[in-house]
Amino acid sequence: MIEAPKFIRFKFRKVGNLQFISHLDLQKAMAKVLVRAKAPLWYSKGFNPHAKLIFALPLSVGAQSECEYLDVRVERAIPPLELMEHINNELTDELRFVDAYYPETALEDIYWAEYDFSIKTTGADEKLAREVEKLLTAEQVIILKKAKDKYKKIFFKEIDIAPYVRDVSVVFDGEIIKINAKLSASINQTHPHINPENIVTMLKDKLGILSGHVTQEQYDIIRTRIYFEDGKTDFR
Amino acid sequence: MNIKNSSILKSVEKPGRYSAGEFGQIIKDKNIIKARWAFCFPDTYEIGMSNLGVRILYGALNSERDVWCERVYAPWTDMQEKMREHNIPLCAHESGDPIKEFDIVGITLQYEMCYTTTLKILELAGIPLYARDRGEDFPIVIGGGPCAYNAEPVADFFDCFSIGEGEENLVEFTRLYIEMKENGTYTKKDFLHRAAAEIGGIYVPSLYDVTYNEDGTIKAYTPIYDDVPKRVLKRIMTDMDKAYFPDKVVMPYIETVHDRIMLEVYRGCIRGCRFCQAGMVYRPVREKTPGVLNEQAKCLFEATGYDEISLSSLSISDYSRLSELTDNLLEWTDDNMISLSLPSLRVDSFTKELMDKISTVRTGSLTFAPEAGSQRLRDVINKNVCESDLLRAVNVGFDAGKTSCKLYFMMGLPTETYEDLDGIAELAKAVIEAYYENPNRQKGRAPSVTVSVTCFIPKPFTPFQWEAQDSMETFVEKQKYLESKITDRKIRYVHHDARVSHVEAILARGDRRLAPALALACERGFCFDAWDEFFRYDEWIKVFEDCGIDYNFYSNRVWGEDEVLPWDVIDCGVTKEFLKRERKNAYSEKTTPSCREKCSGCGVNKLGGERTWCPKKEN
Repeated sequence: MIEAPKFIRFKFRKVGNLQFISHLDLQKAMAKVLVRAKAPLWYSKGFNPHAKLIFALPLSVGAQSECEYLDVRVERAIPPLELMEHINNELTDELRFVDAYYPETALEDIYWAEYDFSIKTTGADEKLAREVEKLLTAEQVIILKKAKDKYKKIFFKEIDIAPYVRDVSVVFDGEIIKINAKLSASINQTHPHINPENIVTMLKDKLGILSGHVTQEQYDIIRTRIYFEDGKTDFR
Repeated sequence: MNIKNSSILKSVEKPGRYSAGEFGQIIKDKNIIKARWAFCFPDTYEIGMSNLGVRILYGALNSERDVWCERVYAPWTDMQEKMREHNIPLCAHESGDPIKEFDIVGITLQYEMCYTTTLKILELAGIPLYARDRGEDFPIVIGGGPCAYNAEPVADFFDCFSIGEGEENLVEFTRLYIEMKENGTYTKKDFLHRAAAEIGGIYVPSLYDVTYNEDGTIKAYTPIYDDVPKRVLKRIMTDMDKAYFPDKVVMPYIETVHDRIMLEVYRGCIRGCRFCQAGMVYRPVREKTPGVLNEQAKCLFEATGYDEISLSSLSISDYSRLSELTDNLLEWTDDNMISLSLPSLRVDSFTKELMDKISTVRTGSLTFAPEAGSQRLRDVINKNVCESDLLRAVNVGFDAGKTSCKLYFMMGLPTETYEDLDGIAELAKAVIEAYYENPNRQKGRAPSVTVSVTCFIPKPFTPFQWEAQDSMETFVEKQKYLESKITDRKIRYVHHDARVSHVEAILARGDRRLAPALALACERGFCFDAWDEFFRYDEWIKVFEDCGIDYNFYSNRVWGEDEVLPWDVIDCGVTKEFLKRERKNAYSEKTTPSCREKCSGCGVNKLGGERTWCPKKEN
């Protein structure tokens, strides 16, 4: 007898309005979606049975993504794409599954995430774009990272993320400054995970951008691809 | 509300409240829509999304092809600030269109303390507060929900109210609106007049003249047209098996207060506790059959994927076929990892059999509401439970390994003495003792009992509607006294803020003369008064004083039984004679049997109803 694979891996996008749903809320919502789609979920034994869902990388509120990964433990084999179709019937366009398969790699193999930043700010021009580029490709890229001390008090510590940023390109399209970059990404603590929001915060602090009227100025962050350690091979 | 500007959403707390895009939300093509509804819940998204009534009416209105009903919730204060800063009016959740441009704005009034938020919603929408200041260009503003049974304090701000259950009446209301718009006979005035005259359960306050006596009491409510009913009779759904049932549900992405399936088992209540407004105004009892409920539960599970079904009704253990229903449900819920929960259990019905059913998958806590500390006072309020019932019930819980228990009481009930308060402390002690005497208890663990005491508020359409509320001083004294009586560290004592109850009492029995105070409160920035963090008692008192309102006239006065009451213009089916009779029984400490045991002749049977306990009305 062939043992049924334990997990199905899904790739999904989370864009538009759904960028405002927190990771925790998404986890809870997704559990209900899978139940509605009649996924053959595996449940933990014990007093309080729960399904096993592993989300690869948390996405911060206000960031969108074209490439979220979710591993779902199933109790019997089922064609992944068929299940994906059922799941998509229970979703709206802003949260949509785009791929499903039995995984051959571990989520821990994720090493880099690629992001598109688009920044609409007053006074944006080619010169500002070059300044942004300079900051992101400097020998040292210092960001302030939120951390908690042992009393759970929040403080900010400076860290140099230069080794964790690669393949930066910045263009000015006549209105918007567009940044494309790969940031170190990790499901556990084997290597750093850089929150793309920190990049925007650094640019705000250093260049004073995005400080004007919110109806005129805004930025978007979209995670577009995930890579293995070499930063070139797409994660799968 | 749906805000398209992402920068604003990124700058507020919990943006998921505003971003919409939920699975199951209803989007329609504006080109085929003849009436647009904005259904407002004057509190946060998380609370509003949990409301079953809104869910039902949203579905009922949207089942009309040419009507589009959208949802609106009160934006939190941080968002309100952003809206003011950037001149953004209040918009509907689904479309993001300003609700000022809608045909009908409905606001559900679930509790008195939401009145200020209600006005804030109008203000944020850019809709003038007073109905008389709104011309033809503004939407019709209609209220509903439990507070509509005496909505007089907010009557000046509404064009009309839907009294009772709205599934049919709101649809009829909307159809009349569309009809008059299409045949060119529509003016706001004529529409409201026809709605009041032709549709049951529509109350149009502007069609009644109110006069007052010199002592401040009401002299008369007089309809200004002959074809407008003197008293507006509430609407009910007669057959709950056939009543509209929303099989599609909007699924919130963020956590809401009741994140579970709410299965409405029946409406009404057989009990008749004398302080309880819900127990009177939702009469008659109308049950659904287990077969229908089982199908509806399955349907809701498939539509939602929730892992909990809450059987919801005023007193679920009074459902005559509960055992059959839970057995039906358990046949499939266990396999699907769904747990059952039964809120509002009465102590006299909490049995081991029932407990086993609800704790098969997950366990909850023990909560009971004896309401009063002594048997005498429990008889006065017609609670119809005794100490032995409570002790038996907690022992069922202790047998099953529970160690904590919550007990709800009320303070300031009519005829209450300090001995009755002693009874609260004694009852809590008795529960602790019962724990230690129970041989099956969890060994090695101390019990904990939480005693939670709220303040009595006399509510319209109850036998206690004429009673005075205790003064603030008395409440504070009684609270201190009870605190001194509870010395056991295993008993935790919490009490409700008497100051909130005082304002609630003023509004609950208020009349139209309170409108200027509410308008002033809105002007002074009042909002979210149901939230402790925003409630400011001194400011409320100042508002009343600045408007020259003798507020204790409403709360701390014994009203005369012959007085014209502000809510006499509404007929909830239960007669005033019955309420008077019940009040008399209260004073002679006489209990009244439940509807199931014996009909007490409350008069509601004139409304009919299927699977009720009422005798058929003789013609």
